[in-house]
Amino acid sequence: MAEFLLRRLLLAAIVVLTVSFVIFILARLVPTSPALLVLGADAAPAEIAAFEQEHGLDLPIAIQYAHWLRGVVTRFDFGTSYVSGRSVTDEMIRTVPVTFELIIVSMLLCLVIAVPFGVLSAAYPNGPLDHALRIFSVLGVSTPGFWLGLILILVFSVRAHWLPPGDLPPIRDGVLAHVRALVLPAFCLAIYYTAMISRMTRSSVLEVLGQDYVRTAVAMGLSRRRIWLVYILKNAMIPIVSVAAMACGYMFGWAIVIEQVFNLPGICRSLLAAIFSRDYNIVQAAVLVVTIAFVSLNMLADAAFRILNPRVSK
Amino acid sequence: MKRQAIFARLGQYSSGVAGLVLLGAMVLVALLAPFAAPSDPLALDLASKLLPPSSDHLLGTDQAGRDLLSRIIWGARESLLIAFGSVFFGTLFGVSLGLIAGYKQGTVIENVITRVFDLFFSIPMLVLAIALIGIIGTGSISLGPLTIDDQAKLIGLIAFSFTPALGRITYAAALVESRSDYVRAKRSQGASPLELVVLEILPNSIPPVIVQATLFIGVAVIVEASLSFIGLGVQPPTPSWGTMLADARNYIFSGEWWIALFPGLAICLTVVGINLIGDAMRDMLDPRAGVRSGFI
Repeated sequence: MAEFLLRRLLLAAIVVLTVSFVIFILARLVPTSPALLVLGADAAPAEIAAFEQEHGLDLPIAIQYAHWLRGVVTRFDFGTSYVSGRSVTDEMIRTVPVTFELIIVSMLLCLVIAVPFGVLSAAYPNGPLDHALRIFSVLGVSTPGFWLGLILILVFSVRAHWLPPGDLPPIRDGVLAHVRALVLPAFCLAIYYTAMISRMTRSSVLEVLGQDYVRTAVAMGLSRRRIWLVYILKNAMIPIVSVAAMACGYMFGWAIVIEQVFNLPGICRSLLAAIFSRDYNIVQAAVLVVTIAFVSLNMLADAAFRILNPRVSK
Repeated sequence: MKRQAIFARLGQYSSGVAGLVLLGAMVLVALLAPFAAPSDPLALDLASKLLPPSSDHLLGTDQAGRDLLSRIIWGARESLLIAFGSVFFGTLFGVSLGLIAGYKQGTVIENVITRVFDLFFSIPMLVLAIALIGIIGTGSISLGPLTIDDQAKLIGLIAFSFTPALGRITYAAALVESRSDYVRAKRSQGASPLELVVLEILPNSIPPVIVQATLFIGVAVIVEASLSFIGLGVQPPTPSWGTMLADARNYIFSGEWWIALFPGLAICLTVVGINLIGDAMRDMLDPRAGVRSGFI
């Protein structure tokens, strides 16, 4: 286990450094200087030179990267935004919790729907719930979340006025308004993985149901409740835990689109805005945060699988 | 066979056929776009902007008076071209690398290729793709005689993000096949490595790859639409389902529902068709695989 963790940590470090380096290099190889976008196309050469000097853009790329990395590692300093001139670290502190909250709420919503749905359709195969799951599992992975968002806004916000169409009021201004604003985006982000995980739950439960130890438990006359909770669900949920952790990582990508639809002030929307305004320090920081989160969730998925499944950890 | 089991078989079969019909219709419409579209997808007609569906414009018109049905039909071309193209190249690279790694087992080559797969698996591909496209821009790049336009960039990036998954599946199968007795027998008969890989290992390793590649076509349609929606994919005025939905966003609150509804339905129908085919193929070709969706 220790060796496994060490290997995964090493891979994680390589991934994080590679991704940040690739983004860094590419951003600086692009012919248009960010100075032109910030100062305007008709800026004087002297102004551009001053801007590039101020942000260290005139130094060799390797040195720029070393400076940036040192700032991040030693002082947790991601530099300043080219556009607003404010600290990128502050921007991250403001936006990261929004995206994390969105993803956690989405995953909870996903599991609350998917696990009972999958378990019940495996318990009553070919019943009405099982048929519903078959339809839902195809529709769910075929519906683009952002389009579902547009349609749900049309139905629940524009027509019915039940839920807000976007924006996220801070939680200190009222818990209810905050939660209501999260319902639609969380649902749209969750739908794909809900469909996927309910189907996985179903096949996982079906597989466990066919195992000898379940038959033994039934033959021993154990209570139905005990058989389901201790023998079936505990074992059937092992792969689901890992998949859920991985899905959280993948959600960061889709959150870019969902935060855009619902105008949520998260790190993913901030990344997209920064991409368009060539605010590279923000792009750099946001990609780093997302990559670290993704890599950690993948490690968590692997570790969970090994811990819960003693046969693999040997 | 019990009656229920017969119905279940029939259900699987018919859902695969339904998928083929759906996707086939979409492909046909895309191929025949110049004849199938009732009007020019780019023709501006400000006098008839934002018209609801009617007999003149079956699916209504958008903010520039362009016929939505025609734009959806031409958009099918963009979507399907990019989806099929990216899965084609992703499969090509993934299968080649997977076969090489599986055949060269125990060598440095195997080690390097599988490590590279591991590395790319640990990268949030969608985020990286969005950042990359954002940085290099959506416009055309000229590299000598080669012009890389927005479509080619999308195909390249989506193909790239599919490669490791397809490569790993090929590798796992090729690993088993190249150790098998029939491959050893062929080798002892003097078959060259190329013959072994292409004629023996490839055909026997390919079924699970085909299943995953099919499901990836659906993922590619959604990824392309999402990228175009946020402005980093197909660029206007070229009609694509994603850019049409980006337009629709501005008319959600004023009640022009048809601009948002129909392009999304086109995406849904296409992807449902692809997924039904993929599921049916999995049941036929790779029944042990369990659930394998395009995880992205």
